[in-house]
Amino acid sequence: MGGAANALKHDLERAIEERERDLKRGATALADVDLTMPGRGQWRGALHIVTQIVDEICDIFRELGFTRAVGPEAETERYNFYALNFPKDHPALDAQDSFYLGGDVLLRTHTSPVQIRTLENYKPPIRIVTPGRCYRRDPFDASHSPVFEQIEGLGVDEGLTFVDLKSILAAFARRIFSPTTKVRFRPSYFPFTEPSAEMDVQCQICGGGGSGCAACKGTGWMEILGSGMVHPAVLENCNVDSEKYTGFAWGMGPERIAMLRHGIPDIRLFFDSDVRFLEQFR
Amino acid sequence: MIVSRRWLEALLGRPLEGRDIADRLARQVAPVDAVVPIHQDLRDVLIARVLEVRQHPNADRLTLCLVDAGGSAPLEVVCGAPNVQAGKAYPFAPVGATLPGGLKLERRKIRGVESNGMLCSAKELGLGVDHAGILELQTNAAPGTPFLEAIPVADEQIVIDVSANRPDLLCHKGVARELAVSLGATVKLPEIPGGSAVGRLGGLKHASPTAQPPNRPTATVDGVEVRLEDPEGAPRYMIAVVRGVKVGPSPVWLSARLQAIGQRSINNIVDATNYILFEVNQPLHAFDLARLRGPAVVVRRAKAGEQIVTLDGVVRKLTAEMTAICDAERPTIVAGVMGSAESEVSETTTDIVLECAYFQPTRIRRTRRALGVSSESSYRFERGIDMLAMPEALNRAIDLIRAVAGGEMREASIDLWPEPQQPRSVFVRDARVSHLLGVPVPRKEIERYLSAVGRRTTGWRCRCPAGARTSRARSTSSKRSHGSAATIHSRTSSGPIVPAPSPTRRRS
Repeated sequence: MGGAANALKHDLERAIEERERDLKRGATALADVDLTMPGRGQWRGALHIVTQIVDEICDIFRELGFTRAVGPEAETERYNFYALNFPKDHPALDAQDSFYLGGDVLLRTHTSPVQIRTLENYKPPIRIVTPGRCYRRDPFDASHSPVFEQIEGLGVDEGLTFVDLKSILAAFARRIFSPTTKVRFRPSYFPFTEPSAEMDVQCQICGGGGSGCAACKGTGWMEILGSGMVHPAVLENCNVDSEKYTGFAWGMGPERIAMLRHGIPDIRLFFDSDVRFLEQFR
Repeated sequence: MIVSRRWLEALLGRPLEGRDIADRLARQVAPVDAVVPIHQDLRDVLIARVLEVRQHPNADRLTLCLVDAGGSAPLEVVCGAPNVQAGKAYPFAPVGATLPGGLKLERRKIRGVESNGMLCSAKELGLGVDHAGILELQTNAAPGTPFLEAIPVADEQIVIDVSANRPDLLCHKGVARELAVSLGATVKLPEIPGGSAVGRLGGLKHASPTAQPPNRPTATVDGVEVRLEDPEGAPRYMIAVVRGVKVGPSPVWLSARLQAIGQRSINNIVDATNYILFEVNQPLHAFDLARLRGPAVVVRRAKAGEQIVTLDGVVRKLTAEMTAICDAERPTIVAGVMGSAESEVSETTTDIVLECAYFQPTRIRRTRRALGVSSESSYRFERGIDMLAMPEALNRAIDLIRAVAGGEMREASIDLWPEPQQPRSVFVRDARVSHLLGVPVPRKEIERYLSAVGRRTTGWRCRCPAGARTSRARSTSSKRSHGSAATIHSRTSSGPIVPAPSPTRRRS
C-alpha cells in the first residue's frame, strides 16, 4: 500500500513539473496551437421569456407597494379550495380539474393558496404579489398547458375599494403594454371575490379597431386578468374581520401576457426549450 | 349556452341584432364566445311561384314547370318532385346559385330539355330530412324575394360562457331578462302557436305555485300512484298525466327553434319538453305510461347494484347514493340525469307521465360523475333550478304538449313538496355597497338596478325572483348589469338565494 502511494506521488509530481515547464516556456513555443484560430463560442445563458415577464410584472407592482410572496406547489384542499370559499361538490370546481397526489393533497391549481397563507400569518395591511407554478388537468394545446405560471395580487386594508382595484390594474396595464392602453372591466365570477370582474385591454394586435382581427375575434378587446373584491367569507376563514377590512385580488397568466405582447401563437413554444425561439428574448 | 337571436326576439317582442346582443351581454352579464349566423348558405335561394306544370316530353316522372322567379320572363325548370303544383310557392335556386354543401347550380339539359334552375326540397336546403318532395311555402312574398327575407329561418346563435353562479342564464328567459334591462324592454313568454285552440290545461285547475297543505309524500293522479320516498334527493316533485297524445314529428316552428340552438328534433313530445328546458330552465321528463308497472312512480334511493339501460343504450349500475325514479318494480330514470330506453316515449305511446322535479344539486353532481354521463338536465339540476317556478313551467309544458300532440288531462297535476320553501330574502346594506365600491350608490339607485332584473325590494331586504340562485356560493345572487348591484353579500345570506331544499344542503 505504502509503495503504491509513493509511486503515485512520484507520478503526480513529475506531471506537475512537466506542466510547469511547459507553461514557463510560454504558449508561443507550443507548435500545435494556432493563435489565429477564432475562439470557441460559449453559450451565454439568459432568463426564460416567461421568467422575464414574471420579474417585470413583480417589479411594476413593487413600485406600487407590493411585496413578492411565494408558497408550496403541493397544497391541501383546504388551502386550494375551501378556505377560498369554493363550496364542496360545486360546479365551480369543474374549471379547476386537479392533479391529486393522494388524500387531500394536490398540485395547486392557482397561486391563491398563498393569499390564505399570508392572511393567516400576517396582519393587515397586506400588499403582495404571488408568482408561481400551477397545475391543472387541461389538454396540452395551443392555448392550454397542464403546467403554467400565474401571478396573483392581494391587497387587504381598511377602506380598500373597487376604485383602488381598478386604478391599480389600469396603471399596471399602462406600464406593461403602453401608456395609452385602455382597459375595461366586465362582470365575472370567482368564488373568492365578490363582486368579480375580468379586465380586458385594447387588442394589442389591431389596436382596438376590431374588425377582421383574428387575435381579438373582432371585438377590439383582449381578456388579460380576473379580479374582484375579496369575498368576506375568505377573510373570515383567515380570522380577518371583514367588517373592518376590505381587500382586492387579481390573477393573471404571464404566458398569456407574453403571448399578447410578442404575438406568440402557441403556448407550447414556452416549453419546447428550442433555443432558436428562446434566444429572441434575451 | 347557445341562445337563438330569434328566440330572444320572441321573448322581448322586438327585433334584435346578434352583434349588439353579444356586446350588451359581454359588458353587463357574461362573456360571449361567438355569434354564429346559421342558414346563411341559403342567401342565393329565392321565392318562386310555379305558373304552369306540364309533362316532360322525354320522361314520365319529370315535369316541366314555368316558374316566376321575379325576372322579366318566366323560366322553364325541370322538376322531379311529385308534389309540384301550379299556383304554389317554392324555394328556388337560380342558375349560378350555391346551395348548402357547396353545390353550384349550372344551366343544363335534363333529358333533352334545358332547366334554368331548381325547385328545392327541405333536405337540399339543410332545413330537414324531407326529400320526398319540394318544400311548399306558405308565403305572400313576391316571386324573386330572397328566401331568407321571406321565411324566418335565418338566425344567429349567441354562444354565452355562463359561469357556475349564474344558472339563470341557462335558458332564453334568463338571458332575455338581462337584455330587457339594457334595452328597456319587458320579457313575456310568447303565445304557443295553436295553444288557444286546445285551451289552457283543458280547463283543469292550474297547479298552484305553493303546495297545498297537507304536504303529502304520496298522491294519486289519474290512476297513477306517486310516492316521494326520498324528499332529500327530490325536495319537490310534480307529476301530470296526459292521455291520448299522438306522437309524431314536431311542427316546423318548434323543430326550427330547437335546430337553431343545435338540438336535434326527435318527436313532438320530447321536443316540447326540450323547448321548455331551453325556454325557462326547467328540465322535464316524459315517459310512457303503458310501460309503467303499477302504474306507479316511486322516487327513492336506488338499491346498490340495481341496473338500468339508459337512453344511450348503456347498462348502468346504480348505487344507494343515487336517486332513482322507479315504477312499482324497478328504476325507469336515473333522477335528473337520464331516462331508460325502455320507458322512453315512442311512436306507439298514447298516454304519458310528465315529470317536473327539483333534484338536489350535490346528489346530481355526484351521480353523473359516478356514472360518467352528463345531460342538459343534469347540467341544470347540478347548478340549481328555480324551485318556485316549477308549476308555471309544468303548466306551460302541458299546454305545449296538448298544442303539438293533442291529448287530454283528466285530473290536475300533483305537487309533492313536503317542506315548502318561501322566496328567499337577502339583506343589502346600502352603506356597505358604497363602502366596497368606493363610489356613492344611493339606495334609490340600488333599488332601481335590482327591480330591473325582477327583484322585489322591501325595506332593507331584497326578495329574489325566479331562477337567480346559486347554491351556497354566498353573495353571488346578483352579478348584475351594473357591477354596483353585485354587492348584495351579507352575513345573513349564507344559504342559497332561492329556497334551500333541506338543511343538509348548506355545508359551506
